[in-house]
Amino acid sequence: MTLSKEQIEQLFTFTKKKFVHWYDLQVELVDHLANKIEAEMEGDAGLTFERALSNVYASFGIFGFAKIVSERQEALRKANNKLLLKEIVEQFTWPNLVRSLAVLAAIFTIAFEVNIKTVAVLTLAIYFLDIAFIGRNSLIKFRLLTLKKSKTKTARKKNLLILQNLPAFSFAGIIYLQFMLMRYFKVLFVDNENFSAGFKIYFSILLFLGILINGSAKKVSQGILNKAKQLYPEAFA
Amino acid sequence: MYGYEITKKVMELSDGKMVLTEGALYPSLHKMEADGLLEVKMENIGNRNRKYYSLTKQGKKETSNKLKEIAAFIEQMQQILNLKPSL
Repeated sequence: MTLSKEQIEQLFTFTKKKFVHWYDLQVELVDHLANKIEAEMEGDAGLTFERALSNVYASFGIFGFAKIVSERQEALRKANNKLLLKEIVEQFTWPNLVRSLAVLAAIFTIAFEVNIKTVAVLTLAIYFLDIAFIGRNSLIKFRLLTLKKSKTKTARKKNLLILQNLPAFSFAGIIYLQFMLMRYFKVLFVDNENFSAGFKIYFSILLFLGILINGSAKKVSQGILNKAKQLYPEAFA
Repeated sequence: MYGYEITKKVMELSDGKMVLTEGALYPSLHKMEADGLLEVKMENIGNRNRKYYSLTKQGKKETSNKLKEIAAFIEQMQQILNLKPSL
């Protein structure tokens, strides 16, 4: 006993009605429901598809799919944070450490030997990159990016839970906002090069953190997006 | 293995005494996947797609550790339960 394509479509509609809005989770639940329904119908020839579906859904308990959805969201959120942290830590391990130190040294050289204003401009650039990156992730989340132009309407309906919490670390934004309000305009507009060494170090480290966090978040997000494309190509077709 | 297959296997191996509910199975699978213990791949089986889980290298190591922990726990329980009153 194998369910028809129409019955499988009915199962997708059923999961949507039960508030499973994400295609990646729907696929798994639909396969599970279909397996159980097929087994039930094989065991009882008189059983209708609708009745079997009702029986099978009852076996998910009083909360239905709710617990599976909420725990999946939580697991993905934790996993993404862990991936981001791992990526940041990796920038301080060999051989990436060399690159990180080179970037830090370059920023210090600019701050101390060239002009602190250059560091301020670079910081502003990273700040805008950070905001643009958060915006890009939101567009991916709401299925407005990374879709091929044909069939976009069908694919856009396939929301993916895996793309809901792409790490775009707003921590960098918070730092910059605080720093910009307090210091930025002073550095950029006040014609005074006599900033203390401590201030230059603080300023340089902020830029370094911005580059580090932004770069790591971008790499992790791209990895998650690639995984989503590999597992669910139909959601990008 | 895929989700439904796991529930069937557990039931089969325990002679129907252990029932793994969907509400327990999927959150555990998703957590293990998030922790890097499981990896997944999708396969088309005709009328639908199916998600298969398999242990990662880290998952195999963790399984071995957990099995050792369980064996040690059972051994300790047996020692406690086999105690005979000395009086």
